Amino acid sequence: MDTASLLVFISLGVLTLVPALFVVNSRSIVHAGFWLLPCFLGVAGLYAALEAHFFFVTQLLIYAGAILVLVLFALMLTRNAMNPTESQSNRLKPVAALVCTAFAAGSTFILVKHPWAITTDTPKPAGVQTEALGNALIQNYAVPFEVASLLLLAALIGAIVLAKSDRGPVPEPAPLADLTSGTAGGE
Amino acid sequence: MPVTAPSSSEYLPIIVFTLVGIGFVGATLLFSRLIQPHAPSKAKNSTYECGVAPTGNAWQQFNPHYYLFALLFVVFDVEAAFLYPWALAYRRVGMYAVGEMILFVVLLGAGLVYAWRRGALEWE
Amino acid sequence: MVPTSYYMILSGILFTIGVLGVLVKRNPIVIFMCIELMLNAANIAFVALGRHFAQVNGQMYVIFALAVAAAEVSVGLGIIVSIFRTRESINVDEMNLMKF
Repeated sequence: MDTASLLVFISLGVLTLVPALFVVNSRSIVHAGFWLLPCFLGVAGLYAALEAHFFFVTQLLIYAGAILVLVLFALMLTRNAMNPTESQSNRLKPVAALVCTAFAAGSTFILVKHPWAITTDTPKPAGVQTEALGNALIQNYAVPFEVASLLLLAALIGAIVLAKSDRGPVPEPAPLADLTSGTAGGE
Repeated sequence: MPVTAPSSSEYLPIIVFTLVGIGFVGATLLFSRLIQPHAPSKAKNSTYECGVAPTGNAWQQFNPHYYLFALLFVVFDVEAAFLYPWALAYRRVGMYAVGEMILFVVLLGAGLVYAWRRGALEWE
Repeated sequence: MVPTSYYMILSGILFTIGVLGVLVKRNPIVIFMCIELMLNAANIAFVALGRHFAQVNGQMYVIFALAVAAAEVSVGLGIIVSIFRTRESINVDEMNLMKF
């Protein structure tokens, strides 16, 4: 293990864990949302350090790009819901902090003591690695692949139903013929 | 299939670019802070110095429609993430892989058609 | 190369921070952010172990976790937004009814 990669790992770890602590500790929910960004960037850097180049990009695209935007929109839709001057935590905080510290210490102890097998893996080039991922996705994981599509479809429909249901009576969906004959939107 | 060299040093340009970007913004802000004259007045400190005085709270409720667009964006962003490794590997597997991806895209396309028919794509 | 155990320890600590947030926070959107932290911690562990054992399966779980995270965040935040609009409050400690 050379010093340079250890240094990179430590700085990425700090970039991930310190903003994560701010997310949990921040009094303002908007600040908590924005602290999520450096945390996601740190995780993306960790993927890069792990030579998982594809996930470096997807982490930036999906977590830092899309999910964070969705969370911030949800914050803006519900902003006045809670008084920012009162505490954002419930009364369990000291007990929970104690239990969580104990849990982290215990899992760290176990991970340090665990006899790790010597890894023989040499990192593959980015293209080859992602191609192997695609091969496994098509061949061994074909059914989960389609189920993931179904899951995303269900989430899309469910979220549209939730987001549109409270704007008065639901408008009658137009017959499908309208859609195909070129009247955009159908309503 | 182009094969790139296996090395983390490929990230060096990204790191340099990030540092230069942060450094440029920081240096510009610092420089303007150093050379600007400091003479605040009541008019200068208002929200819009030459505009209409704002009324009400800035923390107003957003149009929920933004949420629907962000939602569609997330779902199709994930679809793109699935498409990329497939696109690298489908040639070796052939028509089977193409059929799988057509099913995948058609299922999500049904979601898009549903969103369209519910009027989620229209701005009121 | 940095040993796999370092990544696992980092993942464990990030997961614990997420658990702490889920336990103590009162705003469900912040709880969602903490769930995202936990998912990210699990993803780091999957990628690190996948590299350790030279298996593609680790990365495969991460790509499905991404789809699950996207589905979860869109429906979950939709539920929170619609609860807020009917109840004008999103304090989880006050939400104790299955219907309203």
